[in-house]
Amino acid sequence: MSIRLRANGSFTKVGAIATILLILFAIPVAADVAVQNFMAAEVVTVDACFTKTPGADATSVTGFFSFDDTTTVTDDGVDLLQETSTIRAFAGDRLLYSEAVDFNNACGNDLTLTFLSTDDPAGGLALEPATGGIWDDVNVSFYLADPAGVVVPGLPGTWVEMMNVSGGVVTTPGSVVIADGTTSTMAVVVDTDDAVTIGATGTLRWIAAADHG
Amino acid sequence: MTAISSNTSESPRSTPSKFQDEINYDELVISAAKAALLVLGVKVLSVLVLAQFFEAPIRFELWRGILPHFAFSTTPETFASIVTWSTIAMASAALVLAAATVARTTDRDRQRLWGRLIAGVVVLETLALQVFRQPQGGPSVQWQWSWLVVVTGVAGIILLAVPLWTERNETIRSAQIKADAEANTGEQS
Repeated sequence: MSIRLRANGSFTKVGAIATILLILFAIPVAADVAVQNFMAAEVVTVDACFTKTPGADATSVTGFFSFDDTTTVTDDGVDLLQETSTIRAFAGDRLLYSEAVDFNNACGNDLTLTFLSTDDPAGGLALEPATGGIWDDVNVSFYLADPAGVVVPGLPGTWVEMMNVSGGVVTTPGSVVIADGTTSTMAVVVDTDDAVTIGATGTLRWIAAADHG
Repeated sequence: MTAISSNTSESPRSTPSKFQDEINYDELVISAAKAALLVLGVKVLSVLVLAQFFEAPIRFELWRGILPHFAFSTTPETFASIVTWSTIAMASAALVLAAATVARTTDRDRQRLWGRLIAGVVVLETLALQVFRQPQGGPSVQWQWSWLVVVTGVAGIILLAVPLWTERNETIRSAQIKADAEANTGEQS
């Protein structure tokens, strides 16, 4: 069986059917694959435009509040900065840090900042210990300076409460808009029960999410 | 070998009335190939024109080093527009070809009609492939316009199918009349 059986080279019935089937297969495929949409994403690394830097409480006073911006946490082989603060809490006292960390916006547009309580990529829990421990005796509130905020007794200016740990429960009630080219300072207020176990430690982990939408 | 020719054919190679092995099918194959290549050509050309219209950067590439195709660096929406409207252009070409074939009443070779009907089938197949092939980043066709391809393609097929069907009925009727006449002649003698 061949497409052209006859000596004069004309198509037989079988040859015609085979050729028509070939056309019906090949031409639509050719017409369909004639166009392909290849999308590409080019990743360009630049310096971060939204940064956290130590405030005056970390730079001018030692032993109370520290800020380390070199600690990293590994996610799928990539080391991500995990800025880490150490906050000293006094048993039986309320301690206020009014200039703990500066959040700097140099992104070219305003940023809306929220705090999200979450585990870190390496498996560190959002709240350690998850229940009990130090959190039975310590409440912590984090504020960001905002002209549209409210007065917090003991802190200068006006503030928006971004995150609170009270009775071992974490809430993230607020958000702040940081205008382009400006800085918003984070304040921390720590209330510690007088019966707290001296030397007890706890850890909070969260994300400072900046959205320009 | 018996040479059977059509009384409506202008082509000496074409034999439309019966598909038996002595029949020469060149006209059918050539007509189908021309029709399919025509709609494919319209598709490619319209893709180039639409890419220019949408200002979509276009490259010529070889898939796996063999199969030539165009590649766009554009949004899924623009890509879907180019695919959809080029297929509509393809369907329109098939419809125009069908209308032109039917309009030329002196050129109604039965194999040629069948061959050109292939264009409409190719268009519908192409649309089906585009619908079922889902590229990354979004749909490959614009659903709100794809019905135009179906309507135009089917219209082209119907335009060619009608004379094919009509001629077939006329042939059957003529054969019946001839058989009846022969039967009557036999009875009279």
